[in-house]
Amino acid sequence: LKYTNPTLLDHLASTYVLGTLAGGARRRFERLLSERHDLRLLVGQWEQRLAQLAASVPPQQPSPDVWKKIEQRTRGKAKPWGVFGSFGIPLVPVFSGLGGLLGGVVLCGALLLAFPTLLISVDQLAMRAGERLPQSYVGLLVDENANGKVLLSSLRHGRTATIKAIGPITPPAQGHLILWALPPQGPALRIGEVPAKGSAEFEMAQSSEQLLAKVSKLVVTLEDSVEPQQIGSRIVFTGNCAKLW
Amino acid sequence: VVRRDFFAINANNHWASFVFEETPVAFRKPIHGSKIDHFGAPNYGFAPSLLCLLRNHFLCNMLDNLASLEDLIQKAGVGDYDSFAVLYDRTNAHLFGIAMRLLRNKPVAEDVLQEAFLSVWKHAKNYRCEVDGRQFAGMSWLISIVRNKCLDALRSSGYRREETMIDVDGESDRESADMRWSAPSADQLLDQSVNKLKIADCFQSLESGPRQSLALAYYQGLSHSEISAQMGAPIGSVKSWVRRGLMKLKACLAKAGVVN
Repeated sequence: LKYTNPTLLDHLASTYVLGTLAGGARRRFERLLSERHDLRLLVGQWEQRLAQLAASVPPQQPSPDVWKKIEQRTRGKAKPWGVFGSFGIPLVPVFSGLGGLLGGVVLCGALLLAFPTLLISVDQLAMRAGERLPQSYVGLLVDENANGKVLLSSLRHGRTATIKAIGPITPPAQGHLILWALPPQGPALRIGEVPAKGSAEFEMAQSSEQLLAKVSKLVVTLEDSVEPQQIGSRIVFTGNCAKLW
Repeated sequence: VVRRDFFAINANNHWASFVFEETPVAFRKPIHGSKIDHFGAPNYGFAPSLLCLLRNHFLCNMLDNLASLEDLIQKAGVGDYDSFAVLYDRTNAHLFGIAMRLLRNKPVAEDVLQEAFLSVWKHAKNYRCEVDGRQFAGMSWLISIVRNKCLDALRSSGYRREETMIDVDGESDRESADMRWSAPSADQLLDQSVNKLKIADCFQSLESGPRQSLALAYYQGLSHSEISAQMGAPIGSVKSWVRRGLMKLKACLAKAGVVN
């Protein structure tokens, strides 16, 4: 058979849709359908025509189990990103398999660029941008003439305290200059030894927030030992502790 | 913004009317020049998807109910499961009626309906409501899927029409018997359809042979040889009658402007 005669093709399409085209002829026609656009168009037209006859068939309600079974067999295969899909954007392949991994990396990168505060705090961001100092505890200690001598600084949630000599400090002939934090209640907290010049760092037992939150006064005393158990009475410098945020 | 009243069938197959505002650009040309197709769905192509982004389910459900079958199929094609569920809700009774008419066996018809909707979910992405400027209604596409599944079942080696008329359990026996007793004949259904389509006058000139052959083939899914056996006519005559019936239907529908 040569499938070029329009009348023959229309007849085949009509009997195919009606269902009277059977056996080998139906199978041959189905094969042709997958290859020929003109045949699909003819079939579509006959589907339109014959569907009009279905309007008189009385509707009947199937059992609710039918939908349950359909749901069981299709729900797991529902494509994600349905909302985006509504717009015809083929996101599904992008977010599966290796594409999903790459897509995730790209998405995370884009999110971080757009919303850097997701992983970095506002303060860290501002600090990195040079807009403000980080949240810290700072203290300035002066001598009896109000000359600045020692600077204490520590990040709010850090455990390292930095003691910096900012003015000429004459080292004592005997003993050590020790910096203390004085909480309103309880014993003084020893921070560390004041260097004669430059700065020195000390590891604290807890974070600055935990140790210095209620501290307002700082003192440097002259002590016989580098690690005195309690504060002595020979005060050399005094100062205040402040929150830098 | 245009304010319009729509009538649509809601999820429970009840008629409901809605007032909906939409921009004129969102309108699509009505199919077959009719605002509402014979299955109650308005054929306008406004897209509820934009509002559904808000995930307001009440609004989404209402808009899904207003959406045309074509929209629902296309949305199901891109994985929108809600639209697929609404599509089933809106069409299952009609499609099941067709399957029952052809198969006359509830469990088999339900299996066919199930398979048909699996096929719809799988192939919805291939559905095109317009090809080469011609409109193709979603319901026609769905009916074709169901009918083809029914025909496959009827032609399968394991399916014997006589046995399926009576089911094994008593309740189904009664259902089948009731259905046989109350179901309109294929001839009656064809008459009802041509009257509904307002092509009765045109169709009147068709002789009883072609008319009955067409009715038996469409409403009962009979093959040429089965029609021949039922009508007691030579198979050659039946083939000729079926062909004449189809040509007449085509001419009458075109004349009435229903389908060209």
